[in-house]
Amino acid sequence: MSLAARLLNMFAIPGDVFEEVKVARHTATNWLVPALIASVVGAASAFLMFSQPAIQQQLREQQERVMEQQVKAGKMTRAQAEQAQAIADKFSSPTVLKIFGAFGAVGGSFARIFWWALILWLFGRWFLHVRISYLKAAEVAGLAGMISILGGIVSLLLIVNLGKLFSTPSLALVVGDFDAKNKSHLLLGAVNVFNFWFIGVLASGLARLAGVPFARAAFLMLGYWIAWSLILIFIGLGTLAM
Amino acid sequence: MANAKKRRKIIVFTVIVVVLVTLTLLAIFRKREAVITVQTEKVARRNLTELVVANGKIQPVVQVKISAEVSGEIIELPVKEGQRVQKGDLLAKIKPDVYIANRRSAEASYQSARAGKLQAEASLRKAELDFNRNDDLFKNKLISDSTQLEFKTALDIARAQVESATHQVDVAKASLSRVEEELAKTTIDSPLTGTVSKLNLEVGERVAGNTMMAGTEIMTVAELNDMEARVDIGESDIVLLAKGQKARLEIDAFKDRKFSGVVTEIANSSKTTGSASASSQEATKFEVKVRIQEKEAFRPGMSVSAEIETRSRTNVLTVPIASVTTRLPKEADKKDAKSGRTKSVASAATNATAATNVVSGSSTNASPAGKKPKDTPKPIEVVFVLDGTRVKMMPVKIGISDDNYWEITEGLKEDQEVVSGGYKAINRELEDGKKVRIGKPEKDEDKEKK
Repeated sequence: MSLAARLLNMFAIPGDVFEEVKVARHTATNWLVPALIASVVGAASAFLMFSQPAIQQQLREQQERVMEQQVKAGKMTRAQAEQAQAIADKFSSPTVLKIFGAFGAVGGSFARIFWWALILWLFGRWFLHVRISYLKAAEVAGLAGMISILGGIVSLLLIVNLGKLFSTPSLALVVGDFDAKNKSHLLLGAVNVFNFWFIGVLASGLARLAGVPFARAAFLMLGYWIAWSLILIFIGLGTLAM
Repeated sequence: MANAKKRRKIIVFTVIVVVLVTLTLLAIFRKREAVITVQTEKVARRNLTELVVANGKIQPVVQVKISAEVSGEIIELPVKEGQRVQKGDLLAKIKPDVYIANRRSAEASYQSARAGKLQAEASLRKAELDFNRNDDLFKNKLISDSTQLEFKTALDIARAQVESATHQVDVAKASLSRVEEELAKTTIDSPLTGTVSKLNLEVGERVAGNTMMAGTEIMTVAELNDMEARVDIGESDIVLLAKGQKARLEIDAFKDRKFSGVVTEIANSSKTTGSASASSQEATKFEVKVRIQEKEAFRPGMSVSAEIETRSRTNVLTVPIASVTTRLPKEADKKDAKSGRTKSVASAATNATAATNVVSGSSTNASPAGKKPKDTPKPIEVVFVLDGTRVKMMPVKIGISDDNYWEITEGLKEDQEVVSGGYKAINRELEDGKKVRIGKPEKDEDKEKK
């Protein structure tokens, strides 16, 4: 299969792609190209998203809300809050947000692939008692990342259409006034179609690499995802689980 | 198997493409704009009372400065500051020795003048007797004309001397009266019943007195049972005041109480302070006197804040004060946006007219030759009315206001919902047609969450 075929077939027949990856020589393009595509898509998303007046308005309101809570809790005075707001306004201008968003997308794309590769490698070693090559795991994680790329594009289009910051293809769409500090809202946001699709594809890749039944691999991946999402939500980084 | 995979691919890619194309087309053709969070309140009928607030001092209504009319040393000062005195009580005594001596001298002059008059009268009687005796002789041609004339002249002279002596007596008497009056003025009695509110001098100090103008001020006597607040009102508010208007007074020394008062006097001229250069920078103030109706242990000079009820309206349409803001008229805004040149302002198509001066003129952009350059359009008072999920900018005419509400005389109807918060939204962000959502103020949202 060509690289393009491999990337596109991830949406329809991921199992076949992973079978080929398992037996073929290590190819860096299997993780590098998806990482680059994810970087470009992420940077473009940041640029588009932070150009929306509605999104800028929501970010500003969120900042003001946080400052107000700090003042009410006695952690800062009104004057300090106003000063902090002025600094925040300076550093959260659309241009600054776009730049940081773009860099974050690039770094995050690569980091995500290597993180999931590590998870696959560890699960293979600890739970499945199989030696999986880390680079093969990276290829699997990279190719599975195509699902996340599609999910990112759909989320971006939803954000642009609905004008709400946390519009993802998840149960968060039913929440009228999404609050990023509300744990129940974050839990709903984590129930994302593309998250499940991505976990399923990763499980398929793990099953192929380790030579185990899909169900076992899926159980492991799903269990990890649920645990990790809950940890992120309860330590205050719930938006990363969405 | 291969067919199944192929079919699966087609289905999956078709779904993906359809979803992406649909969302992309929606994103391209959908109008996006920021939604502004606001709070609203309905236009309602209320009774409004306009207040003018001013600060000043408490002073007695009647206050007399006691000053000397004659010069001398104070030898007696039987009162103390804060002492109550009745009308006619002795307040001070000035050393009378000089004035007593003057009086004696004047008395002597008067007596001397009287004696002179008596002497002149005696001379007149003698001259009359001589004339009458010689007149008989002249009639019998026993004496000459010249002799007769001598006696007649002597009689005239005697008469004139009597007249002169009479006037001398009058002069002496007047001098005596004046000196007696000066002597009387060495004793100063209280012209009213009141309290010695200020005592400036001590026994032994000298005072300078003058009947033409005020001499040295010895003390001040005031009636402290009738006090008034003298407050300073700015020139823009003074036109709203009238005698008889009620006022509420807050006195710093009596923080827990509010007193009632009535406006009794409004200055016609402003207070002038300092030099001409200073007055051009300082605000122009007019003094207003408010009689305090309650009796209390007020002291002159206490600080007071007065809220004077100037105008009131019953059952008028009102909106929260925060709802009213200013914007440029719509037509001026659009034309400015189109061509960027200074334009004349066309009269508004709506029934409300600008509260400030707006020049009505041609709706075209061109300035005809020979006319003055068009004035910059001035902002007008507007209110944002909720119209579904958007707001509509409505020009309004405002009347009076109190602490919380403006009277609306034109432009709104009862029960219309107007934007009443937040401050930034109303004064900067909102424009005609902007999309809004109703949100509660921050403190209410936090309470709900708790």
